Amino acid sequence: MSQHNDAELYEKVQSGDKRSLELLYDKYEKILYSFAYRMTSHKESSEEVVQEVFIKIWKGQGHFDVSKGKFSSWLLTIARNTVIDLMRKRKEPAYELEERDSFASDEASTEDLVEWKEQGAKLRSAISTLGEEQQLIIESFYFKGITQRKIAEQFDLPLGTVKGRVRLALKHLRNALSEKKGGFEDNGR
Amino acid sequence: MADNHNDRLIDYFNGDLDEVSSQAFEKHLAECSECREELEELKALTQDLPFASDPAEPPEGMKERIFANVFAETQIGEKDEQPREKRQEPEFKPKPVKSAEPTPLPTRKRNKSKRGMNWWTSFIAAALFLSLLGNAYSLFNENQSGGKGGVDIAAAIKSVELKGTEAMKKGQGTATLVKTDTGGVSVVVNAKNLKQLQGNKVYQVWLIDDAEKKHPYRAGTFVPDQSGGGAVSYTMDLPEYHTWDTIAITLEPTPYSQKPKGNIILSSEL
Repeated sequence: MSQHNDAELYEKVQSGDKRSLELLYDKYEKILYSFAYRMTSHKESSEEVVQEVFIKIWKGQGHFDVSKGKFSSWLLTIARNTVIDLMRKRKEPAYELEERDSFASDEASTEDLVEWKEQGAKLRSAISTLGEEQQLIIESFYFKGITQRKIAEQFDLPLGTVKGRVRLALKHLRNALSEKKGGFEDNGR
Repeated sequence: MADNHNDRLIDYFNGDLDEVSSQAFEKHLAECSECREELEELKALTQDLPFASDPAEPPEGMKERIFANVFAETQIGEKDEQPREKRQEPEFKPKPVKSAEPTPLPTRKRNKSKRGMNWWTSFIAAALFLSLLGNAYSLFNENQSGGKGGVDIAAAIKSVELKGTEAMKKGQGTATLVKTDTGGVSVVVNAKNLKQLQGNKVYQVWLIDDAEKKHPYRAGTFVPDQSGGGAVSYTMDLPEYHTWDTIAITLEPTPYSQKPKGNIILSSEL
């Protein structure tokens, strides 16, 4: 349950313990899948991403270092990189909306991780308070992982200003969050 | 100079730089505290964003599929550095390669996909593999039916010619079962005149035992090069020697099919 456990499980996986891999899988399956789905809007690709992430963990590609932060953050970063990688490999245009609408109907799904439960709704509502352009910038930069040049084209910005816009949008988001609840507590490790 | 590098932070964070630029940026990072701080800030500001995702229900059977693939995913080429003999141990776990930094992953090589690997490199890799095996002398010499394709197949158990099916009449190739020097068995497939693939599609090799037709054994995937050639060598992770009745290659929508979904394009009896 605790982060402390995650690091231990991870170490056991590194020495070949399949059971520990399964425990990590059970704990993070849903957030990983949901995050991948958030980025790809595509069910098969999302499953592929979750699989890739666990292949990477099993093979010890990329190493989790407890001193550098939470296991969940590390894991989700790997997932994000995997999605970006996958989307770049696919030359076909992204799947986009096709599934997202139909997906909304089978809802009733809930967050299962504590930190997800705590932060999910707040984050979504904080994002919704941002201006449209800032929301889109976060979408393009973070959830689509597109290049600086493409962001510049998409928003008709000089290349040199993209980074500033991204930081500004993210900082606004952070402010919106702290207004909501007076600070973002860190869930420890 | 610094300005130039400052402009790369976003692309570095998103892994959009090529290897050279990425390394150059990392070098710059080591020297420039401003960029380091900006990168850390970017990480901190985005750290919780994944939790903004609406919960989505994973598809049924995902866990089983993923675990089957995670443990089965052992293709030659991925683990060239790993001694192959370990494959025979049921609890074998590849040693972790702890080189890459967790975030971001600047060089994004997907070694699983054989995309971009051309026919000749694959062929040479397979030939080299075979000739290495040839050095470890074979117990199966009496079964072998003679060399094919100019490759030393002294350790071959069996070599068959693959014929194109209705779905791909021009396709042809060879499949060779070879005894590895540690007592395992590898299957090496070389094929040509195959159709190009798009998207995530792959050609998947299957070994079929008539007694267990519903559960063919996955034995490697490959993607052809521009000339329609492709090859894969796959070391089987089976506790003991198994005899197979048929080898078939299908066209699959993704590299993750646990059972054949697409048409058979090449096959042969074994």
